[in-house]
Amino acid sequence: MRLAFEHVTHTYQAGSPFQATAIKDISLTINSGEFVALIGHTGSGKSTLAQHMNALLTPTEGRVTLDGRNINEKGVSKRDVRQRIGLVFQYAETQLFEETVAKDVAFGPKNLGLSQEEIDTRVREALERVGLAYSEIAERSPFELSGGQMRRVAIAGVIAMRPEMLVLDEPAAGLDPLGRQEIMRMVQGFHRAGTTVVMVSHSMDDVAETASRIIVMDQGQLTLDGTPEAVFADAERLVALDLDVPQTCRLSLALRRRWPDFPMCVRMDEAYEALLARLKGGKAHA
Amino acid sequence: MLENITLGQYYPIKSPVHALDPRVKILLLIAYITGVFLVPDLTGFIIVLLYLALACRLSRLPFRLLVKSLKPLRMILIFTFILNLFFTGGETPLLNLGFATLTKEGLLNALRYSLRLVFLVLGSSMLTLTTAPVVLTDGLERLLSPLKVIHFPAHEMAMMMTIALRFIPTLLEEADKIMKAQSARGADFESGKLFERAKAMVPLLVPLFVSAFRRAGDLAMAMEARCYHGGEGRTRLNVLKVERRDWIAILITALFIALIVLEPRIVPWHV
Repeated sequence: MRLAFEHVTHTYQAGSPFQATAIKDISLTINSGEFVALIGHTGSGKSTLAQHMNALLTPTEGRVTLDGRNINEKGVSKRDVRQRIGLVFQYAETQLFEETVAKDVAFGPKNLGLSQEEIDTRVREALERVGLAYSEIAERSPFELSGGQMRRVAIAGVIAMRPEMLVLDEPAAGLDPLGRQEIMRMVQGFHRAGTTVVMVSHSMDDVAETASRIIVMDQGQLTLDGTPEAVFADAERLVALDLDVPQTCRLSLALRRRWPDFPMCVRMDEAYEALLARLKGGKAHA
Repeated sequence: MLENITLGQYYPIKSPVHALDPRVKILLLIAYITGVFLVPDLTGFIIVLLYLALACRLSRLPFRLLVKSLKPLRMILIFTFILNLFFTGGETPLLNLGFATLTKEGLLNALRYSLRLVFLVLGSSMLTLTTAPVVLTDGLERLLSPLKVIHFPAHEMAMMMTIALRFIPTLLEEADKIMKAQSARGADFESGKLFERAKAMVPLLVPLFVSAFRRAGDLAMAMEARCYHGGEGRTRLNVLKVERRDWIAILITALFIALIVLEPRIVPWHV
């Protein structure tokens, strides 16, 4: 699967006094198996970009293609596109509406026109994949669950459609540190199981450990695009741009004041190894 | 998906008309409406047109925006025109169609009633286009406050209206988001028969209600936390003051009414 943006621009309420251009001339390609982190400040256009990925928004200019076909073309089934590319919204728990968790998760598969049997298997599987016990939770009302559980049920609702690519808009927003960690681990699990993942986030720490590629957005445009190592290699520039960098990079920057040749570390274990080597090597007092 | 729904019609620019005191603007609209009803003959509508043109010019609104406010009323306008055209009666036939006769009186009546409607709508739009909804309710509250003597809850009414208006965009945004989220799960809001479409609204309406109730609870709590207890003894942040431009507007409008009343005596012809 190959999802490509070709010079995509989106303007909200074009032609009115409220018009606002959210993204400008975006070109990028996402391939199968990637774990892309989409990063930027509030209002940088991340969510708008994400909503173009499954044809919820249509570009004002440019086009979005999936395996070479324009997904906003007349002949292309939107439902098909949305099955292949699942989108989990920010605060996804606000979309829950059914009487029971099982029925809510079944909403997507049902819209796909699957058999009851198939729907049941998928609901079971989706709930297990987000770490909820089917037997305990399936018949409960989604509205009596905790915030973190509701979020998981909502994510299960998208997973149940078995998308090839999963786009998550700040999946961990508003959760406590433990909840965040669990969600992040879950997303990593999806990726390891073969799903292409695009995750919108404004936490550099969340993505430094997991993403295979980082895209930084600023004021509706792509400013950086590359592997975490490549993007964070220039941590000084990111800081100058008033963009956050992971704790590990900040630590590396601080240590460079003492050891100018200290490597720029992105992952925690990397930083640990480098620091350990430095301390053991006795260069500490050089 | 819902982005083309705008709240009311407020057009946010700066102009002398936008800056008028909302109380004055509401009263002027009432005076204007009275004026439109007082128009004695077709010639009088020229005065109304001039008055409105002046207001439009001063308000810096694009003219097409004002005209657009007539669009929802086009069926009513056509009906009014046709009904008056054929059912007025009168003695001076202009055209015999067999099943009905067109008379001069009918034609004049049709024009008069349609024009009256057009000008009423244009005038009201002038108010809503140039006044932010919250400012409007503020003005309304002050105008209705004398009714407190007979225990009319003017402040509470205005507060309810303000809150309702304040939350329309928020709820629309919420509805838009939920609609998109359900579409991402394969929901279809746009096709199907009436019953299917109504059923398709459930996944939208349930979350919307849940969120509206949650917001209402939060808001009530936040207001109570800041000691809100209704209108009694409450002072305001923006005190409305009638200024020079308001007096000028009042003067112009008084002149407008006088012209309309005196029009049959000034103009020698009567149409």
